Amino acid sequence: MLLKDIAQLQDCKQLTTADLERKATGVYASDMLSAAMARAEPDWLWITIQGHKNILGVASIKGLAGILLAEGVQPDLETLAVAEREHIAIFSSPETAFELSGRIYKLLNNNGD
Amino acid sequence: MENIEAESFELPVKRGDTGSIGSQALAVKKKLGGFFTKNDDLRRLGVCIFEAEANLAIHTSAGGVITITLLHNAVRVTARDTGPGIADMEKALTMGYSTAPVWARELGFGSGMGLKNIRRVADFFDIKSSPKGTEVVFEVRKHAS
Repeated sequence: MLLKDIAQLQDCKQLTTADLERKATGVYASDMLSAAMARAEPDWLWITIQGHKNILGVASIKGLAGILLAEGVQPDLETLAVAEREHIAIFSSPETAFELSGRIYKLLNNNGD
Repeated sequence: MENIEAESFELPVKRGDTGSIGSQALAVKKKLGGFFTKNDDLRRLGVCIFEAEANLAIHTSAGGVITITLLHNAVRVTARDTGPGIADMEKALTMGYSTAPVWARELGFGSGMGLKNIRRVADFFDIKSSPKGTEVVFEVRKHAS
């Protein structure tokens, strides 16, 4: 699955500059930062409703492929500016983490990766 | 623990400054990018420092200091504060147990995984606590690429 597959999800908005050809090899969904620190793997996508600056630390330290914000969460301008500077891809969708997980589970399986 | 010390530097963490949690971990990750040969070692160090920052910002009376020491084959990190200390260490080291306040939980902290994450990914972990303060020491060692 590529980040462009995420960008093409219905009503999904790309909030930062991103390499849409980057591969996301897995997905983790949680709103607890330490859980993402423990369970998300490098090059995975992280689904969460946390939109504050600390999520960038998690993404950068873990080497995540990107962050998908559920339920239409929009980070503040400072967070987006830091994300741009640190080259962290952020997307936002109005759907819930459950709905997004279902769609992306299908994407991962249909693509065979 | 290794005893050959080379270089060390200190990073302050303010009580309640949740917006900055992760900033010291990122700074260390950038500064020590050349120290490790495996990206995974650098990631493990970043995870541990992030959790130490969160603990100092959320659970202390006055914040604390993280000291980074470069050893021959490892990075040693000491996180110190001046209280109030950990009342029940056994519970504090139990997965899922947290004393984080509501405001921290709403930001996604307080999952009861912080200290456990450090203990799980570090190569060395030790913690001492009294009402006068807590000292967490951990090391992340270099592994061959």
